Amino acid sequence: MQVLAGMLCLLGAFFFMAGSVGVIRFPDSLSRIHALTKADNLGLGFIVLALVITSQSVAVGLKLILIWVLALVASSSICFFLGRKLIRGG
Amino acid sequence: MENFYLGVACFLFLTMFVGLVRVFLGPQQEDRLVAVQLFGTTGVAILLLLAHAFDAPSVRNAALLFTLLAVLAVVAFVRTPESLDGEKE
Amino acid sequence: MNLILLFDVFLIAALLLVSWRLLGASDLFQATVLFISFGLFLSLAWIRLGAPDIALAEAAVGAGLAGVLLFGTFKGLEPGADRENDSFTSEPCRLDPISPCPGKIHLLLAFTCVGSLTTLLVLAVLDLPATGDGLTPMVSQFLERSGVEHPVTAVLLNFRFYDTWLELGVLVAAVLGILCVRNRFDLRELKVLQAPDVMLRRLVMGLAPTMALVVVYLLWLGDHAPGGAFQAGVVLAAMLVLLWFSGHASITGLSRMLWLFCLIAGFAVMLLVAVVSALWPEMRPLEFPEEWSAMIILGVEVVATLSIGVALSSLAILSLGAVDDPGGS
Repeated sequence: MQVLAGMLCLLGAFFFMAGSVGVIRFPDSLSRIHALTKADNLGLGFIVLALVITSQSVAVGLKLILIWVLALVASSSICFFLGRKLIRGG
Repeated sequence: MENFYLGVACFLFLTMFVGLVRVFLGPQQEDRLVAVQLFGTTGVAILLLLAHAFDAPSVRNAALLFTLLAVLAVVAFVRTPESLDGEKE
Repeated sequence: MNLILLFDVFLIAALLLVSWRLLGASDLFQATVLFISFGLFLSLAWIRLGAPDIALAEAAVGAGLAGVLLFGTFKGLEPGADRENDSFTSEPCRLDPISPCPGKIHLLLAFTCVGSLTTLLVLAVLDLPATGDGLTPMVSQFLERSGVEHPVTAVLLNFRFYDTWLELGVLVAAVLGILCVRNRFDLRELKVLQAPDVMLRRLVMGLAPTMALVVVYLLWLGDHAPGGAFQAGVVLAAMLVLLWFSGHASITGLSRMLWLFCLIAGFAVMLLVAVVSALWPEMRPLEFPEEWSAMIILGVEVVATLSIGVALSSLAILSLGAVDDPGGS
């Protein structure tokens, strides 16, 4: 279990790195928004998964999953709002 | 295992430094905000890792608050009137 | 052990870098955004310093409300259409474009003040005893008699009750101040400028119940763990502001009397406790009987949460709301 959690953590860290690189390297604002959410949510998702399978209690695991779901909702709607503003504002 | 989590947290912190460059560079207001959102999620991951490493449940609540309130600043930004628009380039 | 040191070094570097760029930022928007990320780093720093209560408060304020207030201020500082944007950014003293730039004498004065304050603070820190736990033993000795299990809550709502009381007074005063500045009497005619859109309404419909749940959770947590009235109040304020943004019912729907009542309720309840305990025979002011203290603290916390939430959301709504259409754009 520990080894699996470690691997999931590393996978999550990789996606965070991918997100950061994307935010730096992508050419325009809209694609930067894209880089952020996809990579970020996968990254947080894998790290949360790693912590859930090593957590001692069910309550902690559920709270971690709640945090991840909230992060999903938050960042996807944030990107929707920013993207729409970018397109409308030209 | 504790050290491993700390190591991952340190690595995530490094990616935050990379993201910070985008806040400095811009060029558009949206770019800076997106980078800050990236910090937000990375910060949440770091908080969760720290909470796990030190077995501190209250740290997890801080992470919960961050995710819960992440929308607020962006909504305030999008919903404020047009005089905010038109980044000077 | 070394890794934690590395983490701390990163954290300090990030704090210094962000604050340096924040002060030197060429435009106010960048400074605003940097301030939001500064809050995040600061919250991490509080965690590392072993103060999760402050970290929670910083997370709630820094991630949510500070951004809202700063964007509102930003809007107020940059009137937009009638001024061409370029001259605005090129000005070295950009906060107030009308007044002249500060001269050498102002800078000298500012540096002298800041320098002497810093020296005093450094001296104060050096003056602290190098070892010892301060007041911790005393707090834990009397913790049983305070009515709660978490030492921070015991200090804030029992041992130093007057401190929290005055803080609520400060919040009320802040709302009164901004009412004067904006020349308003209540919140009812303040509106968001854009029509509410479906996406935001749905989002808030999902988020608001979760936030309400977290408010209750934090309030309950304050009894035995980091959490409590202030953190819960901030989340409540964030919820009210989001509801207002999305066009749902919020505190702008309250009548003036009801709004004022919610605003001052926390301060008033604490005043009531103070007066009753002062008039009670064989008790000193602000001292409560042990068997009642748990009830009193819980009651005061609930009312204080309401007042903090209403006060903070009023601040945000007053700074962001508009009464009439701005002719500019």
